[in-house]
Amino acid sequence: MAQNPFVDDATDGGRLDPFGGEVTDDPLADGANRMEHAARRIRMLKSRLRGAHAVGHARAAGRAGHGAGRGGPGAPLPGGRQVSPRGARLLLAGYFALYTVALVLPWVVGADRIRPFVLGFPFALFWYALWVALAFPVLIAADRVLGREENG
Amino acid sequence: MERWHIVTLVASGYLALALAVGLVAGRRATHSVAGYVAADRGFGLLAMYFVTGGTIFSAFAFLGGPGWAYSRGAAVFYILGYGVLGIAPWYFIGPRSARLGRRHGFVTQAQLLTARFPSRTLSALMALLSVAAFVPYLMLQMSGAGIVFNAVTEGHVPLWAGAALAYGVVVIYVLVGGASAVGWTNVFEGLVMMLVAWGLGIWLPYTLYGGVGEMFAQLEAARPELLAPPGLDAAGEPWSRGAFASSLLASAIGFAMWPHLFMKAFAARSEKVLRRTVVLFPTFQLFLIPLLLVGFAGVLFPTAPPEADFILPHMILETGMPALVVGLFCAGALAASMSTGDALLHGAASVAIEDGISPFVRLSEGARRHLMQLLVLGVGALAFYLAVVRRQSLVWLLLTAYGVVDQFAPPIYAALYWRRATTAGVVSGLAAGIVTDVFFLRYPGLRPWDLHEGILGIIVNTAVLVVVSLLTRPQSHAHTEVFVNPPPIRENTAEPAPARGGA
Repeated sequence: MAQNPFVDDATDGGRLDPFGGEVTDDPLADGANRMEHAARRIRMLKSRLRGAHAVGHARAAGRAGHGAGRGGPGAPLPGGRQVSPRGARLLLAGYFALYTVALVLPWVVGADRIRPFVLGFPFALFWYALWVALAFPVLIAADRVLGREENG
Repeated sequence: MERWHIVTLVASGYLALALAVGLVAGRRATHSVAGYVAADRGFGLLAMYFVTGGTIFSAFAFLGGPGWAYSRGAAVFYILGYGVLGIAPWYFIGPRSARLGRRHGFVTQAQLLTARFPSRTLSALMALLSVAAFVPYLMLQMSGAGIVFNAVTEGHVPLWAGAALAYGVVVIYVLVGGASAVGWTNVFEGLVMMLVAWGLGIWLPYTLYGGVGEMFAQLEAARPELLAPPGLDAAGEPWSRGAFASSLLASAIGFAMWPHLFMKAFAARSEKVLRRTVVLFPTFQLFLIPLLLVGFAGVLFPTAPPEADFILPHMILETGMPALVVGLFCAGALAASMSTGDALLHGAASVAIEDGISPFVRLSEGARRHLMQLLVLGVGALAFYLAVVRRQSLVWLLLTAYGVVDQFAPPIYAALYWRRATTAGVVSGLAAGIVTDVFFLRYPGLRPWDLHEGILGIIVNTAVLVVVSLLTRPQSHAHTEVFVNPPPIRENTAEPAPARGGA
């Protein structure tokens, strides 16, 4: 029988058989885990703050002609602007929210039209192709920031 | 030598090449279950790009896409729109799943789910539903291969024989090489498919109408109802907006939930490779455009094919192309069918054993691998029988399968992002979603606003998941932390993962 991968390294007493039942709380162990989790969050936030400081210094250095830093959580875009991971996530969320409305409900935005023809395509077909094509640079821009954050 | 002889020779040459690529690639993998199911977690960007694209773009895209453009006009735009919307969440859930898989030895979607929500019922249900969704999708691929062979040989090779020939090759390389063979044949098949699609999509409108703009101008004058969404339904009446919008949404939600695609997250070499695959995906999606152009080119063509799904091979033959070009088209269409069919066969066998059998019966690693290989044959034979006996529209088959796969989305998102989700909530939500999906599939007239049954299933699934989870005892914080906030793994350093039987 396959083993639950989380049974072997269980630290609390509440873990049950892999397919036997719910993994519920042991209050003491869970309290300790929550504290440890909170401490880890604080350490992470501190590290991000330090990163933001470093980026601030790097930007100042960049303005002085020394180039932008590469070690922070943000990433430089053309023109030297820094985008934070939060900004990149917002960019993705915003783009795909618009994408959903534009393509799922094309009649709402008036894209269910034939004219004008663009590049030889009826407008509606061009509209769909345009949103798909634009997703590529949007994903590249977001990945420049988020990929760096994920890779530490 | 007759024309169809040359066509068959070219197509056979392609099949021989695909077989060779699959067999050679399969020799690179280890003989472990992880080797067979997840290619030893070694796919780089090239393999992942074509595996993702090739797995998604199938006979459905190559034949069903032009078929819909030809018969239902702008209704087909939903196919162009859903892929990118569907792959976007994969940018986040793909690397997270890969991280968990690498750390804990998961090779299937259900293993990840049942680690978070321990339940044999859930594991068996996922296996059953996955195989149930795979079979119509696999039927679609086999029908596609049969249609192509039958059409380009002018009926000399019957549909069943064409499907048997193409899928005989697929079964051999999947049996021998597993995921590695699937990955590297997809690179080869993806290249052939893209070259043929772009070549035909540009060449046909220019030859027949003098250009793409000219073609659409003539179409606007003769059949304007075909050019604006939501297009037409199967009876040729205007398609409802609800059906158009919900088909796009249902396909987008289900897109990243297909078990055979999800499993590829466990096959990627690194999280970075997975993210880059998502970034590059829109370039693959654009390959649909030339195929749609071919379908539109068929509307004003003087002769009509026996079925809408035959429009592409019909035009190739009726425009009097040289036999060599027809053979190359045949290779491209077979590539589209096989690049998805192989992943489906491999996925169905892997899921059935790892999630349907292994949680209940203790099996050695060797026995699991042998059973998977047996099931490749069994599932292939079943889908072949159904594809030949019960023929359906290619797009209809895919939309039906998507309704089932959509129901995996709430459990997956809950496992990775919602601490308060419980096993009872997930199992009851999944069951309720499936019952809803099947009910509205059986009684389509009762669907509110003509919404796709998959979307209706998701609404019920999510509501039940949330309510039952909140009514049952929460999971321990330490347990949920493993999934909701997994610590990063240093790239290229695989951690030991013996927990899943050496997977």
